[in-house]
Amino acid sequence: MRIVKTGFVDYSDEDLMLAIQQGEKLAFNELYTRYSDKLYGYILKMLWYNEVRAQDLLQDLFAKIITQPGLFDTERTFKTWVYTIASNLCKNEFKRNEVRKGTVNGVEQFYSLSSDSNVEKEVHERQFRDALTEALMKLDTKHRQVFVLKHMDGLSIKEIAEITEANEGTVKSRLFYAIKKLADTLHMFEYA
Amino acid sequence: MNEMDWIFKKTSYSALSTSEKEALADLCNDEASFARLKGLLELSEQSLPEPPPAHIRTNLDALFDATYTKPAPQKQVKRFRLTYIILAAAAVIGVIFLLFPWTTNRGNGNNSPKVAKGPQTPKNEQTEITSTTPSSLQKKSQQQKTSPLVATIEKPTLDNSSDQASVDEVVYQNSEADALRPSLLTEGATEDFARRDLAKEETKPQAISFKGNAQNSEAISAGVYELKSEKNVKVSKTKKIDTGSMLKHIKPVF
Repeated sequence: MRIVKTGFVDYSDEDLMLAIQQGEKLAFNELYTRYSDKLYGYILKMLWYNEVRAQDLLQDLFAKIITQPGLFDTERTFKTWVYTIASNLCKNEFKRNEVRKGTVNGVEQFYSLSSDSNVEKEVHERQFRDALTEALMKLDTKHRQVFVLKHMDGLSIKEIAEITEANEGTVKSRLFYAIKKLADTLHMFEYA
Repeated sequence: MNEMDWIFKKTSYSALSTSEKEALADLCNDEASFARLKGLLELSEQSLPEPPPAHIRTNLDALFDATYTKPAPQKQVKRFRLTYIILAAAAVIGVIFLLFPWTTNRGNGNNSPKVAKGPQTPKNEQTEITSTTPSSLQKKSQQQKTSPLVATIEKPTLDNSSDQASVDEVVYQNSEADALRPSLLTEGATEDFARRDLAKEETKPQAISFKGNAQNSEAISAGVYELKSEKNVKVSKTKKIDTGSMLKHIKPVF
């Protein structure tokens, strides 16, 4: 009887990386399950919802984890390391000028209606999210980045500072500016 | 900003303290703006996960398989190697057992001829003694070290009567040859030859008296030793020594 390894669920991200270096595919699967959605959402927002390019960058990111796991800096947490790579990939994409603003192709499909909810409230929330997405895309990259990382991906100020290679004070001021800008843009929505 | 997170967890703007209101002065200043900001942040945090398409996972699986070798084939290879080594060792052992009786019988058969070949060794030693090339000298020295049979060739002593007799005979024959040799070169050899026959009888006592000289006898014995060794090696060379008897058979041509 073959023993199936299921112990990777309890592994930390860093231990999973060590296991990947030893060729453990299940460790990679676990890591992919933990981070693929978040990273894809992050890259998608950073690239103005250009799905094709976001998928390419996500694949490049995990391909690096597979082929060059030794690049992982053990002194850092995997979370900040992988978000740093994703941010750098997005920066490279900006430099190539291959991304066009305003390609909000797939915004609607990410917010599906649930049957048991209040339809009116659901529609209102959906409209608000669409407006938020548009407002986010009008922000410049630095402010959008810190806002997405803080309020969408749930990273701490310290982690964002590490990823963006900036001081915590700078991150806070950028975040404050982003919230203010979004609030001004979304002032017509009376969300309650 | 961490404080801001805590602030937006409060239900309404009126619930904020004065200091908190001052911190949010640039963002909101009434209930409506506070609620808007709160909703903005809550909705942002509650953003639904966006799963990537399945083909990315498929591509990455293929890449992982191509990058890392699978452990299962490695085990198969190890097992194959182990069985191969075991089979090879068994085959070698089998061959050894098959050949063992044959080698032992042949070994016993070889022992008896070796004993028979024993007496041949002195012949080899004699040939090596006479050889003068450097390689043969080296072999000679090696064999002198290894085989004690080299010492069997002994220098003849004066006390040995048989050796002494042979020495006397050789000395006599040489003196006879020396006496005859000039007569052959001159004309009228017949008369000289007849005289030499007579003188032959007279020279014998001289040769015998030669025996009495100790120093000369040692030199002669040394020469005889050399001649004997040469005689043993090459029989053809020994004919030179017996010149006197050869000259006896030479008949004068008139």
